[in-house]
Amino acid sequence: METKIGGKKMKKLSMIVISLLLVFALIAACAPADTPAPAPGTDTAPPAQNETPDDPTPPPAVDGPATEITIWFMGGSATDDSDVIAAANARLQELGLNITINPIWSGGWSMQEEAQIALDTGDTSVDIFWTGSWGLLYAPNATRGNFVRLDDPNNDLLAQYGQDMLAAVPEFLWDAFAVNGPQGFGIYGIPGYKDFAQLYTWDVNNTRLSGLGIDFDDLFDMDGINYDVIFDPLFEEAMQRAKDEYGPTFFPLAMEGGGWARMISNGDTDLTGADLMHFTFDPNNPAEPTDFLPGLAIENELTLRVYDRLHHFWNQGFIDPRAAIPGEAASVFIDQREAGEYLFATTVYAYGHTTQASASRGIDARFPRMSNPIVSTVSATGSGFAVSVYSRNQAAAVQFMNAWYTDQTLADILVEGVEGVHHTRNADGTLTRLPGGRDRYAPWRFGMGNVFTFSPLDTEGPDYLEGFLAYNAAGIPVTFLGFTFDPANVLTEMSALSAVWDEFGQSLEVGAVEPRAGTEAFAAALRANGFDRFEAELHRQLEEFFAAR
Amino acid sequence: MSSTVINNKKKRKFRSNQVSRPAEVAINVLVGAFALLCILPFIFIIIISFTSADSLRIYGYSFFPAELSTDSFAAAFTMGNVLWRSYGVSFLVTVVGTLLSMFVSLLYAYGLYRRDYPLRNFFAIFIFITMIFGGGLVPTVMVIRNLLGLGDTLWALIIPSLILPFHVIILRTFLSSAVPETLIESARLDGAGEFRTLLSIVVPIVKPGLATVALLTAIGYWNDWWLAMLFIRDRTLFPLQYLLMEFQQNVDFVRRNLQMIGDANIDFAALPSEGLRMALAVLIVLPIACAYPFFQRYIVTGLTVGAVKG
Repeated sequence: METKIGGKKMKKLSMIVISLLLVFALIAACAPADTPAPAPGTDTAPPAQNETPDDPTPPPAVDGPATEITIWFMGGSATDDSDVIAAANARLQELGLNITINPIWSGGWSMQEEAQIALDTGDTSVDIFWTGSWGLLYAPNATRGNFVRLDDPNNDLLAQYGQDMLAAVPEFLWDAFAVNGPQGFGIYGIPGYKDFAQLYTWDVNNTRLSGLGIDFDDLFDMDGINYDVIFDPLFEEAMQRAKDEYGPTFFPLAMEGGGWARMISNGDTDLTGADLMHFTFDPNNPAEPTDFLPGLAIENELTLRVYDRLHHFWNQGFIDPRAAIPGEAASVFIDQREAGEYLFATTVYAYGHTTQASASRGIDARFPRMSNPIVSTVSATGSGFAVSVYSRNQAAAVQFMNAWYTDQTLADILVEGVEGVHHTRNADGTLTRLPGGRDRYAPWRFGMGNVFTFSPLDTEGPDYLEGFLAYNAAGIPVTFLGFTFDPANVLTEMSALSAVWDEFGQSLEVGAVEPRAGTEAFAAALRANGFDRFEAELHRQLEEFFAAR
Repeated sequence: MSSTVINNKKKRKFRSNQVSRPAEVAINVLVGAFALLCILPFIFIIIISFTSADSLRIYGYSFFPAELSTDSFAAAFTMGNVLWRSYGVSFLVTVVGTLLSMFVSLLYAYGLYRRDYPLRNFFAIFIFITMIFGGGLVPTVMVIRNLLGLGDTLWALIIPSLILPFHVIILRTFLSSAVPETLIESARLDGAGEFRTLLSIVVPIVKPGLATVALLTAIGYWNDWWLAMLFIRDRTLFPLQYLLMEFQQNVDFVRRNLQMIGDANIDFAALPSEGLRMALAVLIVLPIACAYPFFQRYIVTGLTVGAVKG
C-alpha cells in the first residue's frame, strides 16, 4: 500500500519535473536570438544584435597574442592552405597588424546551408562571411540583423579602420550595399570589387562554325548588339549544316531554361528571383527601360517571338530533348559546352572568360554581346563580405579587410599562394602559376575581395587591369540600381508560383511546347496562384523606391 | 490406412496458418519483385559509375551504356588523401560511436528493465518525451557548438547520436522478453554484483538484440552527413557521406544558379563528374553492405524474439 502511494507520488513528481522542464525549454526557445552563449573560456560577451555596444570590440593590441580572424570564403578548394596562411599572417605582422587569419573554404551549397546556420545560431567563432546576391544572401541577412552596420554613426568602423578600403572601392558599389537594417539605413557589407556589370552574350563555338564554312562575321558583330541573331536565316542554316555534318546525337543549340529567352528579349532583369518578370529595356542603353513597371515575361511580345523561334528549332531537332527536363537541363547545358559539343549557346559573361573558355574547351569560343552590360543591384552585390554581428573581433575584422583590399602583397598571397611555391613573379609584374600549385590551393579568384589589387597572371597580360577597368566603365546602371525586392509579404504566392514555373516554364523556355497555347496555360495557372498579388507587391515597392529617390 | 493418410493430408492442407502452393508462388514473386526494386537503384548506380563520360553526356543514364569506362573510379582514387581520410573518419566515428552508443543504450535499457529500480518510470517517460519533442536545430547547434565547444571535433559526430530512444526501447523490450527476472535474482543470490550480472549473465542472452541495435546504430553513424554539416568545417574531419553530399549539392547549387554566378566564375573542370559521384556512392555503400552478413544471424533472431509465446 505504502509502495503504491510512494509510486503515485513519484509519478506526480516526475510529471511536475518534466512539465517544468518543458515550460523552461519553451521559454528559452522563445527568447530573442540576441544573446548568444559565450564560448567556453571567454569572458567577453558578444555585442547584442539590434544594439549598438557602448564599447565595441577594440582593435587588437600591438603587443601580446594576435587576434585570430575567422573568415568564411565562397567557392574554391583548398586542401592544404597552411603555407599560404602562414605567409599571409607574416605579411599582416609586417603591416603592423597583430592579426592572424583562419579561413573556412566552402562551395555554394555549404555556404548557403552551413554558413546560414552559423549566423542563425549566433556562432561567435566566425568573424567575416562571404555574402552575395546568389549565396548567403546579403540583403536578407543584413536586414535581419546578422551583419554589423559598418558606417554606424555611433561606431563608424569604416571611418575608423577602413578608410583605405573605402577609397579603393567605387562609391556606387558601397551605395548598392546600403540597406535598411536594424541599426538604420546604412552599409552592412563590403562590396567585392570585380566585374560589377551583368553582360549577356552568345557563346559561339567558332571552331565548328568555321568548319561548316560559315564566317563568324557574317552572323555576329563583336562590336555591336547581337540579340536578334536568332531571327537570322543564316543562324538556322548553320545549325542545319551542323546537324547534317555531326549526326543525330549532336544538338547545335545548347539551351538552359529560366533565362535564355530573357537574355535575348532584353527582358531582364528579374528583380524577384522568381524567373517570371521582365523589365524590358533598350539593348543599346539598358538605363532606358521601355516600361518602368515590370510585367509577366511570357506576355512580352519579343519574348513570345523568341519562344516561337525556339519551338521551330525544337521541331528541327536542334535542341537536346533532355533540356526540357528540369532536373537534367542544367547538366546537359553545362556538359555540352564543356565538351565543345555545341554550336550556339548563351552565357552570363565575365571579364576574361573568352581565354578561359577557349582553353578549357579546346576550341575557339567567342562571346558576342546580346546587349550592353547592365549594372543592377543584383550584379553589384554579386560578391562581398560582411562582419558577423556575433563576432568578438569586429574592429580587427575591418582592419584585416582594409589591409587585404589595399595591399597587393597580401592580396597576391591569398589569391595565388606563396611565391616560389605556387607561383613566380615575372619582370613585367605578372605572375606565372607553377605546376601543381593550384591542386592544393585554388580559391575562387573573383570572390577574393578587390580584384584590382591582384597582380595579373601572365596569361592575362600586364595590361589586364586597365582592360578590366575599361570593361567595367562600359557598364550602364539600370534605373532601379539600389532596389532590392522584399518578398516578405508574398512568400506564399512566390512558393506557389515557383511550383507553377516548374510545371510549365522549363518546357516552354526550351521550345518543347507550342508557344501560344503553352503561354496561355502558363499565364492562367500563374494568375490562379496569386500572380496578381505578387505583381502588385513588386509594383508597390518599385513605386516607393522611385518616389524615395 | 490409406484413407486415414489422405484425411491427414487434407487436414494439413487446410490448416489456417498454411498457404497453398499457388499463393506461396505468388508471394515469392511479389517479395522477389520488391527485393529487385530495392536492389535496382544500386545496380543502376554501379552501371552509371562504369559508364564513360561521353556516353553519359550523349545518351544519359542507361542500363546498357554505349561505352564502359573505369575513369570514374580512377578519378576517385586520385583524390588520394581526401578520400582515404574521409574513409578513416567514417570508420572511426562508426566504430567508436556504435560501441559507445551500445554501452550507454544498454545501461539505460537495463535500468528501465529492472522493476526494482525506483526511477524506472521517470526515466521511461523522460526518454519517451524526447521521441515526441525535439530540441530543434538552433538549440542543438548552440548546445553542441557554443556551450560544449565540440565544433570541429569528432565528438560532435558521435555524441548527438549516442542515445536514440527508439534503440533503448527496442533493447528494453528485448530484455523483458528474453531475460527472466528470476535469473537476475539467482545471480544476486550467487553473489554477483550489478555489473557482473549485466555483463556475464544478461549480455550473452541479449546478443541478438544487441546485434540488431548495433547494426541500426552503425548504419546511422555511417550514413550520417547532417551532423558534419552542422559542426564540422575542418575538411580533414569530413566523413565520407558528407564529402559525397557536398559534391552533389555543390554541383546542384551551380546548376540552379548558373545564370546568377556566370560561367567565368565556375571552374567546371573542378566540379566532380556524374560518374565520379556515382563511383563514390558505390565506395560508400560497399563497406556497410559487407557488414550485413556478419549481423544477419543475430538480426533474424533479434527481430523475431517475443513474436511467439511459448
